[in-house]
Amino acid sequence: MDLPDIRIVIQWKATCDLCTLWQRFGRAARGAGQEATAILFVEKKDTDEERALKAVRAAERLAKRNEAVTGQKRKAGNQLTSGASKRPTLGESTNHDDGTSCSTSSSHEKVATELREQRRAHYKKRPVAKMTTAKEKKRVHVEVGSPMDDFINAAIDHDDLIDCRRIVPMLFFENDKRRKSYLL
Amino acid sequence: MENLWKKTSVTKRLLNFIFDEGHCISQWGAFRKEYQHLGSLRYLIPEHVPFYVPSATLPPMVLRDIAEVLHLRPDLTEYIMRSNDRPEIRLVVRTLTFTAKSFQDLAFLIPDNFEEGDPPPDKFLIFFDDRKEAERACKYLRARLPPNLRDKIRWFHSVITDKTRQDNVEAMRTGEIWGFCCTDSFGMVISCNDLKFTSNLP
Repeated sequence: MDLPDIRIVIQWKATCDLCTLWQRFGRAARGAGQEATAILFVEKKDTDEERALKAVRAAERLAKRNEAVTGQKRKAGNQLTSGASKRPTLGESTNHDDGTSCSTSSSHEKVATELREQRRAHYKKRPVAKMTTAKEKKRVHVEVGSPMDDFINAAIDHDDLIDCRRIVPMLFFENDKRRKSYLL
Repeated sequence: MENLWKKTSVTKRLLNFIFDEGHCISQWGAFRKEYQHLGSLRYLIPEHVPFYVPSATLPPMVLRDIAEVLHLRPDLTEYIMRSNDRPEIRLVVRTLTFTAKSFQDLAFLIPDNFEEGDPPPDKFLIFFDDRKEAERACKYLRARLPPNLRDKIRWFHSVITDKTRQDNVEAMRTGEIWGFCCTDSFGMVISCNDLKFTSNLP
C-alpha cells in the first residue's frame, strides 16, 4: 500500500531500531520525481551532549560527597573523558550542496575508511534486536554503539556544519556494496 | 495446518512461497512464536517450490537470521541485493526542544493561526511506538486547527477496523486527510483484488 505524495515523515523519539526507522522513512516520496524530508526527533537523554553532561554532573556529585567526607577541597570533572569524545567520526565528508551524497576528503580518507570498516564489522556482529513488550519498550535508552546511536550521534563532522547521516545506513545495509542495477 | 501441506491437491498448485516484508521473520522472531516454526515448511512442501523473501531492510545480521529460520539451502539460494538508499529523502535528526509530552516540537507541521482556506500543509506521517502517544499527539495537532478542520488529522493504529483503515488511506490519497499520527500498523493494509488461492498464516 503506497501513498504517493507524503512529503514529511517523522519518527517521534528513538524508540525503534534502524531497520524499522528505515521502513518508516521509506514511506515518504513514493511518487516519481518527488522529494521529502524525514525527521527523527530524539530526546536529550539519547544525545552525546547530554550523556557527557550527565557524566560530568555525576563526577561533580561524587566529588562533593568526597569533600563532605574528607573535608578537602578538590576540583572534579576536568580529567573526565566522556564516552562521547571517544566516538569515531564517521561523517568526515566534503560539502555537497544538496546534502545527498557523502565523499571523503583526501587528508582523512584513510582514517575514515578504517573507522567505517570497523563500524561495518561491528554492525554485522550485533545480535538481531528482538521485539520487546510495550512495557519494556517504554523506558529504554538508545544503546551506545548501536546503529541507531551512530545514526543519531556519529554522523556529524567535527565542525558540526557538514551533516552526512547517510553514512550509517549505508554501512548498516551495505549499500556501498550493491550493484547499481541488477539485470535478471 | 500441517495436513494441508501434505495434500497433493494443494501442493501441486503451489507456484512459490512468498514471505513479503521478510525482515519481520527475524525482527518479530521473539514476538511471533509461529515465525520460528516456518522452517519446517521447507520440508513439508515439494522441493521445487521456491521461497521468495522480499524486503527493503535486510542488513547482514537479519539476512543470516532469516536464512536460519527458513532453513534456506545455501547451495540453492540466490541473493538479489539492491541499495535501499533514498537520496530523494532528506535525513534530519533533531533534539526535542520542548518536553516530549507537550508535542510542541511538532507545531511546525501546522502553521500558527491556521485558518480555513489557507493552503493545506504538506502531507505527513508521524510514527510512534505507543498508541496512546499517537492519539495524544494527534489531539495536540488538531487543537492548532480551527474546529471544522480538525478531522484533517487522524490517528491510525491497530485498534481501528480494516474498513476505517482503507477509508483513511483513500482519504489521504485524495487530500481530504493531511496527516496521520500512526504506529507500524499504517503499513498493514492488504490491497489485492484478484487473488485466487491464498493462505494466511495465523
